[in-house]
Amino acid sequence: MLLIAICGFSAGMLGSLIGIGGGIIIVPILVLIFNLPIKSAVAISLISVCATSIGGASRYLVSGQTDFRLGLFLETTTVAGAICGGLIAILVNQSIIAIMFSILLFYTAIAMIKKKENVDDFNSEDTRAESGGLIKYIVLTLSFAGGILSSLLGVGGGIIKVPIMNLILKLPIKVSAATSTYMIGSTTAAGSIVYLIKGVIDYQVAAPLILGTYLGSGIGAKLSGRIYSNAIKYIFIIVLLYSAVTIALKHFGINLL
Amino acid sequence: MNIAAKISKALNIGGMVIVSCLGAAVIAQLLAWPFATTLAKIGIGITAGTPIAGVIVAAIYLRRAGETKYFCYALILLLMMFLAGMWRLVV
Repeated sequence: MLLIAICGFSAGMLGSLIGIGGGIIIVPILVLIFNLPIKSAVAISLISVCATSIGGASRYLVSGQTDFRLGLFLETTTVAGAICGGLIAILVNQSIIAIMFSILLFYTAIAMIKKKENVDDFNSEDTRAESGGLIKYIVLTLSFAGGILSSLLGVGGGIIKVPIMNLILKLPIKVSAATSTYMIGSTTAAGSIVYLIKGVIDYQVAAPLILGTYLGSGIGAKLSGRIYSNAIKYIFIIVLLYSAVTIALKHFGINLL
Repeated sequence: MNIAAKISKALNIGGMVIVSCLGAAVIAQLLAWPFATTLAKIGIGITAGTPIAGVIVAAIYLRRAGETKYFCYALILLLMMFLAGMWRLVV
C-alpha cells in the first residue's frame, strides 16, 4: 500500500510540475508491477489525473500562474475532439496514427529545445484567449486535434496542450504547465465518473494511489515556483520523448515501463 | 473579483474532503474495517466530481463578473463534459 502511495505521489508531483496527467507513468506501473487488468489501470489512472489537477490547479490558481480563461476556451474544443476521437477510433488504423503522433512528438521536442524560453512575468488577468484572429483559430483546431489524438491513443492530453500553449501562444512554460494542469481535470472528470459507475475500479489500489497523487501534485505545484523555467522545460522534453517512444513501441506490442 | 481564487477555493474544499475520505479509507483498509470500500467510493466520487464543480464555480463567478463570453465557454465545456460522459457510458 505504501509503495502504491509513493508511486502516486511521484506521478502527481511530476504531473503537476510539467502539466501532464501522469497516466503515461501510472498505467504501466499498475499493469506491470501491481498486475492490474489494463481496463482497471486506465480507470484508476484517469481518476488520479483528476486528483493531480485538483491538487495542482488549486495552488497554481492562487499563485496567478494559470490562465483559466484560456483553459476554459481551449478545453471546449479538446473535449469535443475527444468525443470525435471515440468515433474515429472505430474507422481508422490506430497503429499508423500512433507512429505519426510519435514523429510529431519528436518534432515538438526539437522545437521546444530550439525555442528560447520566455521568462516574462505573467498576469493572470491578461488572458491569451484574446489572441488575434488567425492564431486563435489555429490553436482551437490544434486543441480539437489534440482531443482526437488523446482519445485515439489513450494519452491524457497534457503532452499536447503544453506545447500548443508554449510554442504557438508563446506562454511561458510554467504558465503553460499550470494552465494544462487546470485543464486536464475537466478532460478526465466525465470519463472518471463513468468508470466509477461501471465499477471497474479496484478500490484497494485506487485509494492510496489517488491520495498519494493528490498530495504529490500539491508539492509539485509548490516546487514549480522554486525551479528554473528551463529545468521544467527539459523535464517536459524528456517526458515528451519517453511518451513518443512508448506510444510507438506499444503499437508494435512492446511495453516499456 | 478574483475568480481564480474562487475556483481555487472550490478545488481546495474538494481536496480536503478527498484527503479525509481516502485517508480514512486507507486506515480502514489497514485495520480491515468493513466500511473501507464505501469510504474509498465516496473519496473517488468526489475526486471525479471536483473538477466539474470547479467549472461550475468558474461559470457562476464569470457570470457575476459580467464576462459573458467566458461564461458561455464554461457552459459549453459543461455540455461537452456531459456528452463525453454519455458517449463513454454508451460505448
